[in-house]
Amino acid sequence: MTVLIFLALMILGVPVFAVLVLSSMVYIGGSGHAALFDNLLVQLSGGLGNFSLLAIPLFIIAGELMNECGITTRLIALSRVLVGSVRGGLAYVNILANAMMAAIIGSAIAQTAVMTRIMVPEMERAGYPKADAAAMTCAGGLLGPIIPPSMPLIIFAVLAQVPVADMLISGLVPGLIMAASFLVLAGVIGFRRNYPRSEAYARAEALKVVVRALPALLVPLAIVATIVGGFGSPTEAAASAALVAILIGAFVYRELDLRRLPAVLERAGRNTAMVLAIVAASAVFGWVIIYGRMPARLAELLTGLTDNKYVFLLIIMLALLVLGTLIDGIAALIITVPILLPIATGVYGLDPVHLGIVVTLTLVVGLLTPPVGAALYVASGISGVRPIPLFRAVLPYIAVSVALLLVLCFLPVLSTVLIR
Amino acid sequence: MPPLSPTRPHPVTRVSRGLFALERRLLQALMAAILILTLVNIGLTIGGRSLYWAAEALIALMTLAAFVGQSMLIRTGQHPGVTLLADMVSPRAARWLRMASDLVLLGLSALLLVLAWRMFDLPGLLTNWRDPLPRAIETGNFTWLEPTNTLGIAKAWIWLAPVPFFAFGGIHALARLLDPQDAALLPQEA
Repeated sequence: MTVLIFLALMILGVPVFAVLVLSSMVYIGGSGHAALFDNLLVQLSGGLGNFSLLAIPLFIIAGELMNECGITTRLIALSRVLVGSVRGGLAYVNILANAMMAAIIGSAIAQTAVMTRIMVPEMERAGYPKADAAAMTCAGGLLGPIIPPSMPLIIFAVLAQVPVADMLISGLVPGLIMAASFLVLAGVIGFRRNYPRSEAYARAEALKVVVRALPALLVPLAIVATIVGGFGSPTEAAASAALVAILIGAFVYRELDLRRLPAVLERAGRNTAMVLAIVAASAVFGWVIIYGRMPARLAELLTGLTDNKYVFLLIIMLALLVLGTLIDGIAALIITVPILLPIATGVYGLDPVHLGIVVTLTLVVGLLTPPVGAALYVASGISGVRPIPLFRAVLPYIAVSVALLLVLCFLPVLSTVLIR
Repeated sequence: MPPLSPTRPHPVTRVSRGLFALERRLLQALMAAILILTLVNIGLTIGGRSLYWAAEALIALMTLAAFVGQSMLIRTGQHPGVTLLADMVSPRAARWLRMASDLVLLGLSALLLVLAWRMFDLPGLLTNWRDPLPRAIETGNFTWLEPTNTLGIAKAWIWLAPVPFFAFGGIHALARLLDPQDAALLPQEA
């Protein structure tokens, strides 16, 4: 009954947070333990009662501020100087700028929206096929939730009770490998489709762009260095980045209009609520799932199938790839982690950090696939490329991501090398 | 500010608009408070004397901001959801689906308010707010007696803070049902 209500509400298009809370209510009602209703609101508010989650609003504020301060455009200009003058140069610029933005934003959807608005029209003007431009932009958006900071990795860390900093750091190597793979792929596609060559900057102009971009570059570098170097918590890194963005925007670039700050904060607040409402609702859902002994039942089923941890991981990846195409990535993460984690660590002896990277990356790939590939639809909506041609153009990037997933699955050291 | 709707809006819509304006200001203030308090605490920690209550206060502010924003997202229809079916059907059918979704949100708001009424025992609180212990013993509801670790207030105040926004979310959902075109006229982005 609960599953039917869950599916019916999802298909009806009811917001994910409401689906999770209502399905939990239906389950409690059917279980005969009405006393659980008295604790439901505590679970709902209590789902947000974790200090580590504070990194989410602060990184969203930092990302919004950096966009408002002209930092994004300077990072793209810097990428043009670095890689823009070869054949298909703007394709490399796209991926490289996405990797830099990933060190600020942490959300694939937000990053895809920002980068599609900037890169696709510019690439189209330069003679690139529009579908290819939109495809590589939304593929580049996948770097957002992998390269630190990352919203899904913060949420996984909170759910799995591993240090948030460890979880974020473990995304760095897979994120850089993914960025490098996308660069190679863009090069191959560019060579085969004869992408145009961009004009090189004159030396003096290039130097000017680099100097102008240095303060902007400082911000993502400072965020990653603070987290990776252990100089501060992700929350502190985010708050400091927001402060630095305000200072650079107001005093260095002089693009930040302080009267726009309330609007920036409101936008950040709404984006924060989109994520945290699902986190709160999922806390109720996770509580009900555990009450219903679902992890134990699934563990019995899976251990009956295999006792090999890699086969277990492959089964999980396949299930999550399908799930990721159907429901929102963060919701899927919060629904599945309380079920999978005890089995993965308790029965199969997997490292929770390794599991976190594999699970998150698998769900992130779902952002590019219909029917619910949110990043695909955001890029489609903004660029004007229809979803199906866009999906066709993005398929090579999905194939590379799945190949990388398999590598990460069998080589846990790639996820854990920086924290061991 | 020009009128948002060319026709005379329904009274519920007018209330919803007023609440939305209030929520915008509140959300801006909450996000600013989260940023400022975090930065102040970082500065004080570097100076060797951090605010011991900051972590709990920040969590309370974040929780409240999430529910304020959640209510606003109901008004603007921006909550993430699976729109596969709505994208496939005719615009008329999509409108019906949207109305069904708003109806579900209205029902959820009502259910959450009923749960809040039961859990927080508001009539009991109003008559016993000076000393809630006898009432707690009488009813077996000890919600108001659990203290926060550092803020020095009952945890129930923090759990209670989002409740008005369940009601506001319900009013927004009702406004969308009564005046579906009005939400589209609201500023989607600040």
